[in-house]
Amino acid sequence: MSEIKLKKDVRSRNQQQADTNRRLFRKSGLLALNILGSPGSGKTSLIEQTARRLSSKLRILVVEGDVETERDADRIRALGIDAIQFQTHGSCHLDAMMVAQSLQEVKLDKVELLIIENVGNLICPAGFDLGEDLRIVVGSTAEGADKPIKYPEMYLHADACVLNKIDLLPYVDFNIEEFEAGARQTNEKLRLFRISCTTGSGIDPWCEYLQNSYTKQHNNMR
Amino acid sequence: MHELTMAQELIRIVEDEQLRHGFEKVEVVKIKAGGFSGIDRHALDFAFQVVREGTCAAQARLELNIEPVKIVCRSCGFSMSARDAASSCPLCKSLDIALEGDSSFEIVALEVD
Repeated sequence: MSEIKLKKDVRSRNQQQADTNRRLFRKSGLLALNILGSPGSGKTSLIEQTARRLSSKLRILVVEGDVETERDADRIRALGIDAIQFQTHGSCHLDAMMVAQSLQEVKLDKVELLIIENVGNLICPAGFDLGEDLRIVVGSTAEGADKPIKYPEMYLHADACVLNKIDLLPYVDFNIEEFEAGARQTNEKLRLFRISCTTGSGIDPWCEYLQNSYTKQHNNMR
Repeated sequence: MHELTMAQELIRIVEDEQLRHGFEKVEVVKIKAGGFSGIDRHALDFAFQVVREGTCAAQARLELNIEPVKIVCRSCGFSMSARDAASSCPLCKSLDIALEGDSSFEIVALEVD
């Protein structure tokens, strides 16, 4: 018996593809978002609200990752926004290969904001870089305020955290300070947004953040 | 069950190493993971048992070393294992605490025959 010493990142194949995706995104000057969060937190609603506000300013393409069905892509298309549905057929997360595959036929130089909605899940998607510029975690007041400290991996590499359903605060037992302090425990630099996709509250600052990020990204390319 | 994806990648790396080194079979796969790797030990073991069939790692055992997440107080610097979950620093009672760990997941060695 002998021992072979290695230092091999098990996620390296995904990482290589993510780096390739990122290079492609950079080349076309677009801003790519990876939207994560539990099922029902309002990821698709956030994308709908974002698309409504920004589609007159930025050309948007949405990639919807779901285990089954075209439902989410249909919701986005109903707004007149281009959407691609990727069905993972069982897989609990998107990986960089799936993203590359869903974008194969797409002319990326026509896209300015690429929104990738991951499979609804607070654990598995955290470990897979897709090549995004911004990683966004969506939470909601209908979930427990302790979610960030229970699922820290999700928040660790995120750039922003969007807390949805703040219109429900009078009706639910949710401590918003506890939620935000928990999110900052794992990630001090996290940008925090409080929104309601139902009333539209807080959507403007969120869209401003995206627009500024796009402008920064686009200027960097030049 | 992202552990299944991870187990498939493990086997892919092991088979690459077999091509390079020409060993017959793998006895032990040694893995080091950060506390934020999101890997569940039992799920990974189960997935590995499924995907190792018919490969040079068919009899192999996984040795998984997960480094625990730490809670560090940003006020006084006190640090403890996150297993004893706390929402404030047990020493100075500050609420400004941070969770520290990394999300790495690496094969560090193979024991082969």
